[in-house]
Amino acid sequence: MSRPPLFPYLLSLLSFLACPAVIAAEKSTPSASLDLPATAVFSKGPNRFVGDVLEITKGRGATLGWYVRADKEEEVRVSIEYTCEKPLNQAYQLSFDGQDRFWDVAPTGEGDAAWERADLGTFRLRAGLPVLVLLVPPSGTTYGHPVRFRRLVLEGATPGNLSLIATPEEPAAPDASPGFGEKLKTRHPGLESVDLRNESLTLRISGMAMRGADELLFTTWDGDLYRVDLPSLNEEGPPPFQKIARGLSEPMGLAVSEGRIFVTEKNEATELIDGDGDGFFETYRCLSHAWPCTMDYHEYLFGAVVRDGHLYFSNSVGMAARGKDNYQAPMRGSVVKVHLDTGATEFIAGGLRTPDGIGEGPGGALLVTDNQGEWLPANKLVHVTEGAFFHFRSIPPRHPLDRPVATPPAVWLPQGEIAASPTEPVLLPESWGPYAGHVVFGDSAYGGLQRVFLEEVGGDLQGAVFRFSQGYRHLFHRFAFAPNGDLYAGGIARGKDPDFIHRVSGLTRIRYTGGSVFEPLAARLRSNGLEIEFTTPLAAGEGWNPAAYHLAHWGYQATQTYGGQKVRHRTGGVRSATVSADRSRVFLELSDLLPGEVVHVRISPLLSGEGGEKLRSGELWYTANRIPEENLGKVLPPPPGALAGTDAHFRFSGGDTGRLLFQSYCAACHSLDDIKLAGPVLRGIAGTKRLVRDPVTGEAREIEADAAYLRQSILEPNALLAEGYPENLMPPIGAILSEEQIDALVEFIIESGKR
Amino acid sequence: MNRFLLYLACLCLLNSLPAELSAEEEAALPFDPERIRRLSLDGVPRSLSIRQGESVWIGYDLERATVMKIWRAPEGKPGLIVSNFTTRSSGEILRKGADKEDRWRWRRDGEFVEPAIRYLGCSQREGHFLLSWELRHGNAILTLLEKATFKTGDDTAVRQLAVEGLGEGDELHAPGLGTGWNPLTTTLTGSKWHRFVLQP
Repeated sequence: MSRPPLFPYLLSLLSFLACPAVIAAEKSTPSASLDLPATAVFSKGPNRFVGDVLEITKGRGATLGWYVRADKEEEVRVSIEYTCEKPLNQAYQLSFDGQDRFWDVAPTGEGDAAWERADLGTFRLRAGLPVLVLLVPPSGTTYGHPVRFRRLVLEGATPGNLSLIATPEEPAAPDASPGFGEKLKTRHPGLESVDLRNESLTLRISGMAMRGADELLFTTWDGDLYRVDLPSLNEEGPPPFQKIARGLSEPMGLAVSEGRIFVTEKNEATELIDGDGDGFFETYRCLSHAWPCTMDYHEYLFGAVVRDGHLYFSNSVGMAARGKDNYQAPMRGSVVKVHLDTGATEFIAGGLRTPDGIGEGPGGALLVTDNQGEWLPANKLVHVTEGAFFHFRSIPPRHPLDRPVATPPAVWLPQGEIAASPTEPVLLPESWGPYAGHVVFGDSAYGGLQRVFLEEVGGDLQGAVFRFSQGYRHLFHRFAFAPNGDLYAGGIARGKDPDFIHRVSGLTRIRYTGGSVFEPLAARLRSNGLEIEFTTPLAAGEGWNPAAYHLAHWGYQATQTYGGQKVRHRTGGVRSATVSADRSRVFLELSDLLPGEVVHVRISPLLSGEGGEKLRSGELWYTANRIPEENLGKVLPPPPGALAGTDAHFRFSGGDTGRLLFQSYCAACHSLDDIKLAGPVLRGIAGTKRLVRDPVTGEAREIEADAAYLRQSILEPNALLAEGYPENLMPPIGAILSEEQIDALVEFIIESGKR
Repeated sequence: MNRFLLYLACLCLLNSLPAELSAEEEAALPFDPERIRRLSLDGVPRSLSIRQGESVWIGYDLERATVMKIWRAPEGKPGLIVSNFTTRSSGEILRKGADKEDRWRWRRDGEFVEPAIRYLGCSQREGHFLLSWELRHGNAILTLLEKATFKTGDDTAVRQLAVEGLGEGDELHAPGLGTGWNPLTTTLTGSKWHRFVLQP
């Protein structure tokens, strides 16, 4: 069966949109080449212009980019005009519509006579689409001498084919409320929870597992192993946690298999053995340490899953060398498989960054979450397959599984929208009613629980992430299910504020009660659109109006420095909506599906369930790595009167940019009330005196927190560090924001702080 | 007060509050941090430190199966300073570690070979910790054991080493022993325990 003619439609649409924005094509004297001047980059990070020359000294937060368009597809040769006095210790990344090359910058000598043009290779340029061209300096590194850069030159073969176009505007988003473009604020009505706190203990829970039916074990970041009998938790008083091992080195994963206990410590996978049977562990058997490590604080072994006689876990990359040479010890960022008896070690996947959670999904699929940052333009849930490479790179020598085209995640978890630091994924059991077989994961910054529905398309797992539940004190990191379906969730925190750490760390019991909730349950991709399943049927006659669904589509561009971004971001494309006979599903016929993109759906809060229930949340993000073939969704004409109604499903008030940006990029770590989070409280910050520290000299000085200070901190967080906070704790989010967005964010912080 | 010190003080306070274990039970737990620290020592990521007697500490490089350093804590002060999940030795150095070039050598069938080393773990036993490594050359495997006693009685360093799997007439030569130790030898033979005392 032939595919519907979606692509030509899209191309013509994009061409139409792009035409008014053509800013450089000189049609009177058409040329086959196109200049991309430094002065036209949409982001320069903390670097500066001298005339029409951009002097690049800082990599962190700098992604220099342009959008270009070709009327017809052709191969172009790319070259650069630059000077560079001395050799650099790392390569620049040139990304051309997602195709990456690395440019080893050759020294040119000094002065104006040193300008040279370097050939950066040839690329295939697609027709019609706005194509992102990026020149990305080495991550995090600051150089004493600049790379002086004037322009890139694209040389094609067809006169007039290439145009430099304006940066596409961020599409307008509908007004937000909790669950609809904004984080939920409350616990899911189908869940009840108990905060199992022992106020005398600060338990940063780093690993959890059941030993038998009634005994929960958990490790803490500080190196202890505790046990608790679950029946005893129903009694009065603080939970009777019992420490049964200590002296572990930053354990981040715990697994129990046939009575054996395995812990993933900072630098080794360890079996804990109680040889004398006294209940305490006196032998720490090193199962494997067959990978190099350094003293980097960020090198961990994350999670622990036992199956088929092997222990599976992931290891994170280091962060301390980001400002130097981005060195990584070999084999970092891997999924590691270790035989439980022999310790034989295999590296089954690579390209991970901060994979702080591993678990089993539907069908036994091994799932890993990973955190946004260098080479990860958003957070991810990945399906681990043998030989997969998930895109994080360091300087050479690279991971042996590194390859030019990375394995896509099963589900993108957009930063600030639905995740910030995702943690362990767990499969919901049968006792969780309609959610059985779904995956939930925690988040040590965004908080709460997010839910994922996965389906197999073309042999690979992909699916959608949904808002699920907030309203917990703890920032969940690890999970264990009791046989009765109770979910035990352990919270953790990083940072240096003991009050904050104490508040959000600890144990919570979450129980599914079966309470009815009206919300989107699942999403399944068809050849011609997306089918959304709801937890309860829609009210009769509702759901047929395409205007009740606001869609956005985008892809992602990974960059070697922090600040990978959305590309091809556009809205619309719902041709029709068809409600199933039982009214539990709606098929959205889409005109704009492209493989490899995220489809974000906002559902109108005006839709109601058959009992008159209001939607609790109306949002999902589907990752369409593959579009199924010959699996058409059924399209029916709406019944009479189904499109009637005068209420607007979405409002676009505008002026909400600052608040939404704050929510997406800042709220996980900075509060606007007096609740301490990982970063400084921003309430009332404007006009106050702040103690800041120069990270180079270590000297502290007082400054006034004004708009310029906030702007500087957004663009270059390490430049004026708030006293008491370490370097690199805050990412350089300015790299992915436009000047206008930064203005809106600063204004929002200042105005909100006055309230 | 410096925020970092405040943080440390608060953490110490929180962790010193009563847990469910009684003091006796806590003391009975293996891996007392006053006796052993499995966090990295002095910038060596895979290392641990064991205190012998009252004030002598021995630091082990687990990847090389060697002693990194032996030192005596300053009087009345700890010999290990813990910071951000790492440790730093403090006090008088009694013995520097083996040079990087000084490695385990296995005289096997009359020829010296350099075995590959794999750390196997650490176990607390009555009065000592037992460290073990696998030493491999081809298909041949030895198990190296080191008994790190924490009740020496006197205030000097004692090392006790044994090796399992040596063939008849084979020897294992230990890095870092010899000069300054009694006995002066670096050779391990058979499967018996060899005891070495650091000379003042």
